Amino acid sequence: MNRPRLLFTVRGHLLALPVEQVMRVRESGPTSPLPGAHTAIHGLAACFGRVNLVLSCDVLLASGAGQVTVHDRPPLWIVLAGAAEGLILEVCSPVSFAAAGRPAPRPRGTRHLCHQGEIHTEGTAGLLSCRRLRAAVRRHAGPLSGFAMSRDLAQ
Amino acid sequence: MNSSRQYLTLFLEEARGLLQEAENCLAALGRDPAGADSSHLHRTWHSLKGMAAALDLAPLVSLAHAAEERIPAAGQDLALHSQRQVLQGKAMAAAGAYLAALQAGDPPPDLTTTLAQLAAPLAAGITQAANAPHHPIAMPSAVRVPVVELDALLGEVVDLEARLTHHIRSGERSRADEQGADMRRGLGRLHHRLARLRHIPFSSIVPALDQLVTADARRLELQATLEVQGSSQALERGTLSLLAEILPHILRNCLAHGIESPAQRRRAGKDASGRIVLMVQSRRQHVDVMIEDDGRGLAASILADGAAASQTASGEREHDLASLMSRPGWSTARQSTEIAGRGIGLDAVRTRLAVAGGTLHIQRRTPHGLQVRIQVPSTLAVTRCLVARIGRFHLAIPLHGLEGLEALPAGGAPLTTTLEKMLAGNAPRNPQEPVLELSMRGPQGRLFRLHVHQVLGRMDTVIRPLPGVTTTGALMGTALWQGRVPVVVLDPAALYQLMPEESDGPPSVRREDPPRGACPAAG
Repeated sequence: MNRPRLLFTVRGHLLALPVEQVMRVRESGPTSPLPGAHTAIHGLAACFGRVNLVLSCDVLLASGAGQVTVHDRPPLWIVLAGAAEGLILEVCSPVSFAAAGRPAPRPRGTRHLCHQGEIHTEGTAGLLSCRRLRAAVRRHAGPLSGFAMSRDLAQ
Repeated sequence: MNSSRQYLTLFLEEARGLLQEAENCLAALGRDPAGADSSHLHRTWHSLKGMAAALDLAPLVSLAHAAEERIPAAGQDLALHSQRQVLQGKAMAAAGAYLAALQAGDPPPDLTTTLAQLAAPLAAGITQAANAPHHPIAMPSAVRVPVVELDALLGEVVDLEARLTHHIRSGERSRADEQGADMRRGLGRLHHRLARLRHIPFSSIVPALDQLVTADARRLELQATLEVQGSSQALERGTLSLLAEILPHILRNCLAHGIESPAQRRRAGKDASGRIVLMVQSRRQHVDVMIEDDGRGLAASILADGAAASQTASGEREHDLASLMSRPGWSTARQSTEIAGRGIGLDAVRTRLAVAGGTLHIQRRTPHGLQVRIQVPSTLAVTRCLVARIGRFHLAIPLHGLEGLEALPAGGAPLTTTLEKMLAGNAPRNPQEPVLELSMRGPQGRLFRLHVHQVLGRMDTVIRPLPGVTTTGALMGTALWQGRVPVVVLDPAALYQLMPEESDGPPSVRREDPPRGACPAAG
């Protein structure tokens, strides 16, 4: 099955998302802070009548590499759908739509977010994994929303 | 930052994520010991062991190794499974404390006790009553909707959309009020129809209740039957879910404290099999549930003993039985069993009901037995909340958990930042900003106070889970204030559990025990 991808870049990494997991690409907007969340979660945003978590792909990739630096907020949001509904990714720029590429090893530094790589004409892209995104959210969501760990951290 | 510190940061982040996933896995095993997959627990402890070994954290390596040896497995003796679950929980708590100490740069806690517990032999067939798993009654995760209902709903939406488009295009300011009222009526109808779709017949949980009565009666060497009246009534899903949570406690109490053994019943001239009747009546604003048994009831002497033991005035009146019986630790059972007798059940039921806006009444039946009456709101889908601001955070607090509101002078006692630390660590706050003190009710009726900077208003909302996060901490979920501002909804009971017992100086959150002699669960 040849499912099209949305290709975009973050921190120089080329990433890909199956288009059925993209609800909308739009300009970034205002966010409200999420109590206790780490820097990878920029906050909460109202979108399509519900509360969404805004994730910084930039920081998630950087934390994987052990180098967290603060950049200007990326200008675009990808509002996710399907298994990742309720999440918004902050990204630098979309590149293009493309057909699914040939499987390849994950590009370096994308282990935290991608489960495999794909070869496209623009280069090897990391294919984002909803499961890994959700795991990243759980890691970064902070002490008030965690599971059991919250108590230790709060004290 | 040197490389080892960098690696420690990465390790802490990864280890916390692993533990969190392991805790989810353990919770799944608790819900379904036979069906849930425990292989993730293996992977977690193994990964943690490897990472800890790389950092030369020997105690953590030993802990992970010992926990690996005590993974609950499918098909295992239920008692062993249960003990292993408890040990897993202890190992995770110990690992969490170890990681927290590492992060704070404190000396790591001594893991010797936990390691000894993990190494101790386990005995099949023996369960620790307090930790015996209580499998929650599963609620249907889907509802059947007649096509005609869906068509009607679609019709409402299309109609509303057309009228909205017309109003926008016509732009008649003079008719704005009329158009607004028309829209509200349309939305009200839509709301009503959608709410009806969430209704599920009470009969969907009856087989599980019936099974519970049969199984627990067998364990207590009793005979008992459950008769349900009104099971065809459809209840809102949240209300039904609340009943599915509390009715097992009450039925267990009926069996453990009410229904006598077949021999005793015969001697008393009763049928050998006890009878528990459960009646459900849905009303406009609430649902009445009545549970009656034909057991021994409560002897006046037991009540007097209980009242004396609880250090309250004697002579409890009949309608105050619920207050007496739901005191933490009060039980008529002479010996605690796996099923009841620890004096926890009714207290938990009463607290849970109070938080949801329900009530509990217990009466003696003539000539014998007890009658428990529960009243729960007819819908829990929509929660009424107070919306407040603390620093830059917008928070909603369910009104059921609130007791009072008091304004404190601006620039008064400086807030210690207990809650603010929990919220963000460094939330910007103007010390001259006036402070409002909310009195909130935690578990077992204990009061605590929360300081907020501004009360923004009140809203009725459907609380939604935080996407991607298991909201089992102090956050119940999220909601939209005025349809555009995201707010997080606090769970007062869970928040109370996160509070330190004591804090220095004037606290932003204060815990307070109930006054002596007062009923702690009075709501």
